[in-house]
Amino acid sequence: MSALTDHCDVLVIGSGLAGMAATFFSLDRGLKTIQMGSGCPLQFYSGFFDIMGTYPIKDNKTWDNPWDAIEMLCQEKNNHPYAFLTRDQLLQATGSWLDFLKDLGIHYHYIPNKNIYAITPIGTQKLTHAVPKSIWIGIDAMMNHQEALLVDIDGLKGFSAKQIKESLQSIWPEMETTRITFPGTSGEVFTNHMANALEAKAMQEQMADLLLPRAQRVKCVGFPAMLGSFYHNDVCSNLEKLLGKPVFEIPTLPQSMQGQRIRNALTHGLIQKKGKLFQKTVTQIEPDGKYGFIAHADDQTVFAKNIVLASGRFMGKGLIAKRTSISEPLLNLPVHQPESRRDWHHKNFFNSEGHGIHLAGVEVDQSFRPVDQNNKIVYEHLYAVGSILAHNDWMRYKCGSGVAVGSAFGAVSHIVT
Amino acid sequence: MKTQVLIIGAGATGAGIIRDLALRGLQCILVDKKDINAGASGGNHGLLHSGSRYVATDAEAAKECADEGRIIKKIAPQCVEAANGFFIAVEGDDDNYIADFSDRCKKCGITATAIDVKDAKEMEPNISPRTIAVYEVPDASVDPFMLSLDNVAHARQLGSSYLRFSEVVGFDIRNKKIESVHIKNTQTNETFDIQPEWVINASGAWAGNISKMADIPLEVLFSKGTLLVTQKRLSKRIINRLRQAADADILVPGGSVSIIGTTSVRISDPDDIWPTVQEVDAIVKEGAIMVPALETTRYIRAYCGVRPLISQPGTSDDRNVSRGFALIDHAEHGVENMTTITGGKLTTYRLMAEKTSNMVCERLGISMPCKTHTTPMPSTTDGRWTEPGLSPMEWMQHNRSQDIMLCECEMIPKTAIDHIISNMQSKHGNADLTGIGIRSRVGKGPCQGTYCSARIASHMVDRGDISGSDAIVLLKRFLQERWRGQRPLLWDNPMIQSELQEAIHCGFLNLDGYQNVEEVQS
Repeated sequence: MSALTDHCDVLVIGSGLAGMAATFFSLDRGLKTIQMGSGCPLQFYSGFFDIMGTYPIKDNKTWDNPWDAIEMLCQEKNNHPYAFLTRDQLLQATGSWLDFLKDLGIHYHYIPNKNIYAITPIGTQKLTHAVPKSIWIGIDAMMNHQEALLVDIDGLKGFSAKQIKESLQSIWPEMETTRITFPGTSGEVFTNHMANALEAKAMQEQMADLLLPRAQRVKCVGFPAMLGSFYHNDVCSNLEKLLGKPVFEIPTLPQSMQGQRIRNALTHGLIQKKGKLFQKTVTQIEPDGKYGFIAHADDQTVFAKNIVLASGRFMGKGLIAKRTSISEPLLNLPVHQPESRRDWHHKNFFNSEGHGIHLAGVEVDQSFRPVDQNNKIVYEHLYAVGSILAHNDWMRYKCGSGVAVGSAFGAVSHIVT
Repeated sequence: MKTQVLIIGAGATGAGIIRDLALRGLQCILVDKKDINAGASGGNHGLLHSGSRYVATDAEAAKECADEGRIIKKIAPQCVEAANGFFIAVEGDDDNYIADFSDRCKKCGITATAIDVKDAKEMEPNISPRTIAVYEVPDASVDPFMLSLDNVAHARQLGSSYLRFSEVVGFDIRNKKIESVHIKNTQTNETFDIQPEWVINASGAWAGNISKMADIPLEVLFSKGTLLVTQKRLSKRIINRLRQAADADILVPGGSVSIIGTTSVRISDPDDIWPTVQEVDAIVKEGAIMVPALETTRYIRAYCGVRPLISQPGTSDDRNVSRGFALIDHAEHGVENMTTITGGKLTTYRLMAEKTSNMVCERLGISMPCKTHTTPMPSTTDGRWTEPGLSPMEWMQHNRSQDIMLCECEMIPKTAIDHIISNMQSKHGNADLTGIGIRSRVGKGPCQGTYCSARIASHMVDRGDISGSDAIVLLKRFLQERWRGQRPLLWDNPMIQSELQEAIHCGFLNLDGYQNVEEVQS
């Protein structure tokens, strides 16, 4: 096998939100950047851009203003990743990230300094900061008590317009539902198939014909996330023209179209910025005096001056749980973790204080470089970002996107060339 | 509401009794505070003992098992997989026990055939390379859920009734007789009364709680046994360790999975049982001596049951006293129309039902004999979705392309869920996710209910079975119940799976923010 070799300033390992953001910030600084990641973690992304929603979680205290929540958090937990970033840095990070997405056709909407309640496919509400436009229109309609029609599709599982309506009854009594058969289908249907089909003009017209008589009285029409894939914006605007009113989406259980669209857009955008993105698994990294690191992935060798580790937690295999302990498989980095497996998980799945294991992870210094138990930097040119970081229960704090983008920004800003 | 006999507890024994009495022409009501097999009957290996396990310690129990095993295989073949069993000894096991085994089996009427170790390793490649002796015995596996569901279904066909979520909360006793039993619907908290001629307390580990309400002293001790389910089936046969009965020495295959267990831990409250990390590690370590693959295989779930032990002073090992059953006529305690049956084992559930029914019929002056040892048990549709691996086969055979697959791991389509829901609704109480879990493989596949729970909840809202806000509560309850069995097994792939589950249900759906379901007391 002939070996492919590559040289770069920055090798980003991981293609989730943190890996994409690190690649973006690195390319934005003009650094030669390679990204290696396996699987498609962003397909599991809901598209909700959480910055900080709940703290302390044991009191289920939710925050109207994510920045106030972060301030409170950082006063009490000086090892949370946010504690290594200033408010200005975080604002700059999230601002330039959402601008980049906007350039790629994913328009995030938000109210400055505010959290909003997004609607989930089971009719619960989830605190977040920013959402793509198609989701925003629904939230906005709910907040303004607009009459809306939510469309259900025969054969689509895991989505019930009736359930959403009933769950939101007290907040959004103006919502009505209807159920249609997606043209040309029978039996089970999937959102990605319908999204692709809807990119054809003729299908948009058929859909509008089905819905026009049912949507006379309402101000907007909602769908499960299925309004197009690559041409999502065109599908939305065409349908809006045909129906004469705005359309919105409610995200579906992963893997949803929201995540897929964001992944497609980012891959496209980062390649345009001259990033090199590979769908490969890095299997081995050797520290090297001259280059910094030599990384191996399949048949490829990368000589990297710096590495940004954005390999995620257990789902991304950035962390591995064995029967006795948790480890980091690529560089065998020290992993902060509970003393024994007995302390990994609480008896109650919904335990108000979360589970011990979710605070486990890689500990870093102020510049996001992994440190050992004595707070000594492990490698001068190694950075860790995103969910692999310790002391960061993103699922319960509702801070996943903000930590991913913020830590990526922080790490890249410390890279010296 | 009036009935001839009220049976409390819908485990294997209660289900066996209602069928036994129904076959004798009695009209009975079976109640359970939860649902079918909610206690020890649902928390065991699902092993139809050949009796071989007891030949050294309790020849009487061994013979009973041998006889009952033959009867169950004959009358309810749909519930049984006659896989046969191996008893294997590994280097270091007691030579005397090995040497005496086959003769002891013979004395109890059990055929134990010596198998050449080399042949045995070809027949069962997963047994230890350190195996030194192997016997084959007529063990079988039985689906305890299908068994109880079919027993109850047959009794219902014969005119008896089963009420789910019906908890006995008190008795009206006059002139030494129970006149009325107060029942609470645990879903709605409404109460109602049943006036029975006779009451049978078949509530297993809860027998003491029930008898206490009638001022009858009955001390029940509790021994917890924990078991682990593997994702893949590891053997064709049941694999027993050829030694004095101890922890983690039985591996029972059923459909597409295997079950290894158990432990024996004395506990104080039968309602607070959890498989623990320590137990799981001990089972894996001990089980791997017999079947080394248990060290590396993927586990899907842990669960436990509580063996009720009627207090007997002076016994040291719960395992040795737990197998016999206690049948108590409470006339001596001042209540003339109540019987308690508790203890025993799944294999002898029918015999326990027969003895109990005999006693009750005699006291009621009914002379109809028992028929359960000869009358075949109809295979009903109630229990058809419980078998691991069956649903995918049905799906492939019938290829219903219009159907929607609500559970992809175990391939359970919408039509099956619809069938299960309407069946549940005919047995009192509302349809619930946990009940669907009992009656099918839902939530038992690798995704542990991450996706199917939410999909089925949505489907139930669409059907009008539950409201949108009920769905949130039911979803949380279901996930918590599955969590009980997931928590101690989270390493390797199951850890990844549970992270996805929490990411979806807490990170995305924010169910952790909906604090309307009671916290578990720790």
